[in-house]
Amino acid sequence: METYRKPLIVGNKTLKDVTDDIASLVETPPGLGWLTMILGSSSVFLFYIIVIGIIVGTGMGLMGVSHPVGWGTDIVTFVFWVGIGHAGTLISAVLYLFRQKWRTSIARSAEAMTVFAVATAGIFPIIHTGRPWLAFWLFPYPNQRGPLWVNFRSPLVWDVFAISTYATVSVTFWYVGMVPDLATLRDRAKGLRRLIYGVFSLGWRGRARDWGHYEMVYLLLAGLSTPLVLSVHSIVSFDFAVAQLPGWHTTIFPPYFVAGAIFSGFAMVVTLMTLVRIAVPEFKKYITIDHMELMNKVIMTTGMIVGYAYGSEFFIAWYSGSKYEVYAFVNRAIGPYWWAYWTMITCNVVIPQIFWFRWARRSIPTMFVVSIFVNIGMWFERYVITVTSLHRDFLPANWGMFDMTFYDFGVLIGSFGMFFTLFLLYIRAIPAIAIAEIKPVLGFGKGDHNGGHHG
Amino acid sequence: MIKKLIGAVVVLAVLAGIYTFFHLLVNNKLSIGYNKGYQPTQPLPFSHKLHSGELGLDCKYCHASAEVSRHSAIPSLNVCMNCHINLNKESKYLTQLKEAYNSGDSIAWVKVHMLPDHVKFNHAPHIKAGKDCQTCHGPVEQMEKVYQHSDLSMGWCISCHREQMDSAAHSSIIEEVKNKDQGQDSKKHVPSIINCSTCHY
Amino acid sequence: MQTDVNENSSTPKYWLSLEQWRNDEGFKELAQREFLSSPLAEDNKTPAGGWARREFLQLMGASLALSTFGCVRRPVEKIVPYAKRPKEIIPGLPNYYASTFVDGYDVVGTVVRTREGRPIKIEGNEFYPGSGEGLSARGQAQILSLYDPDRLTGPVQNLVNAKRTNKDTVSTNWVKAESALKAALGEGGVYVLSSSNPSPTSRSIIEKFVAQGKGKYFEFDILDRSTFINSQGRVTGTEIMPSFDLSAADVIVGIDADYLGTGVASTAHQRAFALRRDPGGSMNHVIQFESMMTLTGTNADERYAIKPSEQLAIALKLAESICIQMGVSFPFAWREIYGSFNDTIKGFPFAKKLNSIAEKLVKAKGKSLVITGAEASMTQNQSAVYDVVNFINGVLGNDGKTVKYSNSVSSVRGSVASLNELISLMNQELVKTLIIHNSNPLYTLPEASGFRSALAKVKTVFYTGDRVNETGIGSNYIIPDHHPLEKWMDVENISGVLSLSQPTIQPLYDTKAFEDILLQTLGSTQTWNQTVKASTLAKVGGSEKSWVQFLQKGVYGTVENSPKSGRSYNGSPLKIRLDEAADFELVLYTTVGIKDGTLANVSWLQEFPDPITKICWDNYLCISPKTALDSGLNEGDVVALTSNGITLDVPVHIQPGLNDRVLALALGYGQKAAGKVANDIGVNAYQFAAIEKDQIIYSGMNAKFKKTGQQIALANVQGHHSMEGRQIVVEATLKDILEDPQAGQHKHKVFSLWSEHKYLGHKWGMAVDLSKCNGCGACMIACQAENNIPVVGKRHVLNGREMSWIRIDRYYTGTPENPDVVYQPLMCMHCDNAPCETVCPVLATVHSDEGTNDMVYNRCVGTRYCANNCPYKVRRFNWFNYSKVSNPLKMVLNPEVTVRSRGVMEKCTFCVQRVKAKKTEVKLADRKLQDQEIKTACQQTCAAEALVFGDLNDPSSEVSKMQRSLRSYSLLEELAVMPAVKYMSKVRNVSQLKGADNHKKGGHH
Repeated sequence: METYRKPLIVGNKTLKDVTDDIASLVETPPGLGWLTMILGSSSVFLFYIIVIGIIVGTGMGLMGVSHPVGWGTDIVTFVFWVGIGHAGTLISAVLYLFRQKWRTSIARSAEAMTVFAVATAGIFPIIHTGRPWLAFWLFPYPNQRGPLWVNFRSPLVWDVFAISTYATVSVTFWYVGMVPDLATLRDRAKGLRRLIYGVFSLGWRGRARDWGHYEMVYLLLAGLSTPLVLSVHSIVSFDFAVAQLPGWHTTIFPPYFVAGAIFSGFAMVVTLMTLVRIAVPEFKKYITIDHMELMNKVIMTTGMIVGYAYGSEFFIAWYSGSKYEVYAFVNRAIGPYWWAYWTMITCNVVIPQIFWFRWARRSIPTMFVVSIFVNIGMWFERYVITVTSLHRDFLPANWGMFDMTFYDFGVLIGSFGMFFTLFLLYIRAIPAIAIAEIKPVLGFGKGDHNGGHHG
Repeated sequence: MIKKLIGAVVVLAVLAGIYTFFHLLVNNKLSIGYNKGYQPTQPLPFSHKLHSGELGLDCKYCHASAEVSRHSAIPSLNVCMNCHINLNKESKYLTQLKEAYNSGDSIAWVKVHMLPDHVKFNHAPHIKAGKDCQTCHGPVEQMEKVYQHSDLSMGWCISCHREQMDSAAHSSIIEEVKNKDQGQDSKKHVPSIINCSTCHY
Repeated sequence: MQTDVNENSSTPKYWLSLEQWRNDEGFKELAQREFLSSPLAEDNKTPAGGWARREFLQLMGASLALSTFGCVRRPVEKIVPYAKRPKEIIPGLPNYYASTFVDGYDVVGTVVRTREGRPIKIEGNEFYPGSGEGLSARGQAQILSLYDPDRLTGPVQNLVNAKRTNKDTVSTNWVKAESALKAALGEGGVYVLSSSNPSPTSRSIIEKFVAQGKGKYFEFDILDRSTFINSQGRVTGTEIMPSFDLSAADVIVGIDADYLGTGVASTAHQRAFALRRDPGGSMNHVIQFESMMTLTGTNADERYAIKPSEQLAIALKLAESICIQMGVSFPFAWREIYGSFNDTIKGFPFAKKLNSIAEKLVKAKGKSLVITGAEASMTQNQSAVYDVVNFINGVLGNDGKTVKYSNSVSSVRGSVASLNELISLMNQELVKTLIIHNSNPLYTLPEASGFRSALAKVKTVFYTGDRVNETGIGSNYIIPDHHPLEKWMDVENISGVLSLSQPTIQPLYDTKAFEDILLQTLGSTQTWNQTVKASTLAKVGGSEKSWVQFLQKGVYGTVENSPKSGRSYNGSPLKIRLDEAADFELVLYTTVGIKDGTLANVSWLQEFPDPITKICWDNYLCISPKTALDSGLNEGDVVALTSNGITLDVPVHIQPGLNDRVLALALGYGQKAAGKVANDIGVNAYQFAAIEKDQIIYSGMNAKFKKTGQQIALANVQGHHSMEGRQIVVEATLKDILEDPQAGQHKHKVFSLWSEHKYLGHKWGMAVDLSKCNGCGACMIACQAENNIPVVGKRHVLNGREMSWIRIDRYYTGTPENPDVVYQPLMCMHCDNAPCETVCPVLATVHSDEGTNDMVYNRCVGTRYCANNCPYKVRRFNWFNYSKVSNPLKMVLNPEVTVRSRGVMEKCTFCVQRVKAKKTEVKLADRKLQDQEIKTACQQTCAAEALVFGDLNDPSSEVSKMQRSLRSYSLLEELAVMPAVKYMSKVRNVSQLKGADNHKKGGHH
């Protein structure tokens, strides 16, 4: 049967090739491409910091949020980034537990993406508050106020826990996973680099004992992360679902958000991987078209799940018989924000359908474009949910509009600067592909008995 | 092995330390970052020890408005003069006082007990409830120079209010109220003393 | 960031958060270490392997200690006690002084609340006849004009050029100014011009002064009412402004009258009117013909949109058919004119209705009232209309019953005749010296009046205004008078009722009572204060005791209530001029907030949304939806409006219920020198007015407009104007309500998943009677004054960031051509299952055991989740540091209410500070709290008594009774949030509701 199975790594790589290929990226000085990219993204990042500084210094009023639309770009973009994170965890943890060998090439970067996405997301809940310097009050900590704890009934507090847990676990998982590779780099490096990688490789010696511990810890962490894939975005969705606002108050939100998260996450992975393939041609051997195709299949599937959710929302709104619900959804489709809604539908439901065709699934330019569209679409999904529900609720007298200001665009664009800066630095500092995990699957699909049986 | 043991002990010790630290902090046995003990120098060395302690003046003789108003109010100089108009004991401070009084431009005392502006404390009901000034202000009659006796933290206020809530008096009121058709015939009302709006509005 | 914390309202916040800052740093540091430390570190010999666990824990302890012990003391604060404390002042307790608010013809008794010697709030005086505790929005806002930063701080001399147009002034001193005045007095030809002066003592002094100066004293009001008084003279023989008793009228027909909004004694009228809007009692029937939608019109049962030129036709038609039904002969002199209106009358869409309206009036003869006199009625034929209306009241025998001549409104004294006389005297250069008092003629009078040119002929002009406004620029000396709140004044508004305005604060600036200056110049030994006391003392009983009582009560004398026999009446010939019909007739009207523009520099009033249009910070040309459609105009399009040969650019507002031939523009805007707030807000509509013979013409002028292509965004606080068929304001006809009190209500079966709150003590709640509420908006300003609510300015209002804790939603029902209007005051509902409480992460908004929803500003971090989750959207967020106000404005702040800093949420608290104060008072006095002892600011100021606050746990309390009434319903009941505020359905005395079919129809917007 193995003969029918395609190899995961092409180009008859030897074990040494693998190490060299991957480590070289970290060891050789950066090319012009990387330099220009880092220059661009880091300047956007700097801009981001300045914008945030101004907002915090002057007041939330600089942004488009107003009465009645109390949440805007900050929350929209927060949910967007948290969503992005999910694919990473899914690939690195869930697929690991399911013994999906094909994950190995992309797991490391996907997980990195998760960590950076969550970091980027984490900024927004803080800067969207009126008094960010007091945002730490959302953490329950002993104090001399009676003591005064937080409101455990509030979804925002659940968020605090969900996100911080997610961040911690992802970081640990990601870090533990890279320890052997760091050790490899340490052994190849000299001088200061050796010292630094030494510190981070935690004295990894590659002894059987080390591997034993490692495998066990990695398995446990994978198990620990798996439920998070479902829990985190469910809880984020509670921010909306728990409120009684028409358009927010829906039980479908948790699964709908999780599906959306994986959808957008995979899109982002595809975006990044295509970029990585362009930036590092050698990686084409490790991140093959087959990997991409698999991810595109996931995108199409989750895309259709999301599409189904959109549909059922409308059905339920009509079925509920609540005139407020009905209005909220009619208003989405044909109200002043119709353009946002139909952008969402087009990008998330219509465009991914192209992946029914094999050529589309396997064409790098196509999938790149589609993945970009999906990312846009998913940002708009959150925009539609947040803004169009808020801007017209129960009492027509306080209906209003939401217009993005310079600062809204500032934080939106800036956050990408932060994300890509982190990711680019990562590519240069850490093996972007898990060397230690690639090696076992090297012979996979070549009748080699390392893999396949479980596959 | 022994190394591990020591490690364990140290860890436990530190954990225990942190626990007690927070425990004391939360039950306001331990006050950090409040003005407790603040003892500024006043423009005139007015001695509560002398006036209140030795001469035995009632606090409310000078701080009269404490009974009717939210402020206990530093007495206006004419109150001082009630006595000092006749006491011609030579003292440069007294002459300063009299000058200030006659010129009408008063004296700028340094505030000792400073509550945040968003805390609306009201002396009158506390006096009415029969609290002694000393309960919060400490043994003023022994203070040559007044200092802040309690830390005036929210926890400190609350702890006392909680005691009141649990007090027999309070529960008896509740009983009475319950019996008498939700308190409409009753003179008393359940004192709502543990709301946020009790102090913050 | 820290500097910003510094800006926070309270110093303590500063150090508090600074301390937590350190704390925060501690945790950050800690988190870093945590990242570095690893479980494997201990086995790892290399120190670079991160911190060993035990070190890490020690460090954690240390960093915590660091973070917490490292705090700074608060900056030193000083306390400066009184040297000699005035015995009435107890620090922390308010004092109240009876006073009077004179706002043109709306004169009301007030009580001024002061804290530590500074006035902070004005409230109605319950003893004052008519208005009682009610106080208009303007009355509430007057307090802010005291602290107006643009007030003059002393006398000023103008270096006037020939034309008196330059602004360069030099400050002078009183000695110079007064010597100048003395010289002028010697010279003779001294004249005084003022608006109607309600103070007998002041008048007598001025009269004495001008007598000395061989001059004359003229009173003139820009919002003139003299033509009506003259008409009274012609028809009934007595030239007075009668007071109308709305409470005695079963049927009220208004022809361009605005007795509720801006008319004479409107506050008193609101109270009387509301008494008759109770479906339980005998409800009156209100009919209104009007050319601009007014507050009165929106509260009428039947409303007909007319144009000014139709007033006379309607009046005559009514008169004619009433005469026939009453068997009185229709005045012969009127026949011809009436005949000429035949076609006009036939052309009315409501032609048939007129007879039945006449019938209604006749049926209620003696208990009916026909009323007119708003600016919109001041056409070139105003006298004729007034004659007919007065005649009708005579025929119907309303005179002496609903039209009270015994207690005439004696404060209405000004006349155009006297102005004309003055102008001619000035032109003859007989006026050597002119003193202008309480009036701003150079702003209000149209150029055509020739006042400006005439004034240039006067040698010296003294102006007593408190700022260098248009008139100030035109005068030689500006000798600022005290602010009314700094000054003694006796006021006789209604003949026989004396009230007093007493100083509530030492004059803030180097100002002088106008009368004092006159007295000094006359060389009198008495000061103004003594004179007022002397002259008033005599009237109030002579004894010192009676004087003190007068001071306490603020009022002396009562109004006659027993019906009198009617005066004789006659239909004297009408002097009218008829032009051929114009395309568009211009109506200049006054708004509830800005009125004649005297308080225009009070930011509260500029941001006060007009009750009908809900627009603030602008005036605008109201056009009907059809006109807009025909001429392709949208809301905010700027048009060039031309009338009387003058052209101004104004934005248009599309106003439903406006006659298609009418253009309406508000007066009082477009001031050039009123101050930082009012300058260049809107356009000066007075320019379109004309003075013809002895009347001012505000209405019916031929006008046309041209689209300019520019756009001005109008700051409308309301997002949408139709209820979209939702159950928001429940309307019902009187008939239905009498059959079924729940008429119009759709009840839901609601249940709660939460366990109910237990309220052992009080349970505060409120009831709002929508039938009584007339939407005047006084509650909004009262709340603003009581709760330190900041003004945000037009730009932010456009973003929906106005801060009002109580707002009044105005909805149109029925067709845009002639809709019904409903008002709904909306404040925090203090829900039992408050959606805001569950979602706040930091417990900044929580439920109290007295049923109120507490908002803790200092705990709020500003996630705004509560606002999102509030179905009523009553929560307001401090987007910027709005509360930062400079001196002297900050002196108006109420010390009982925390000033909110940037980034926190705020909302209605049910005036918790008032509740607390009263409860403490009761506790200290060992007595029981009485119902209605605690009144929220909004309830207190509501002349219509539409809002009632109280204890729901007390079954006998007013609010419990109202909430038990079957007319009560809770807004958005189906959400089961259990609001503590309940509404009582809006009842109309009509057969069929216009809004009845609005389920099918959407809004017009």
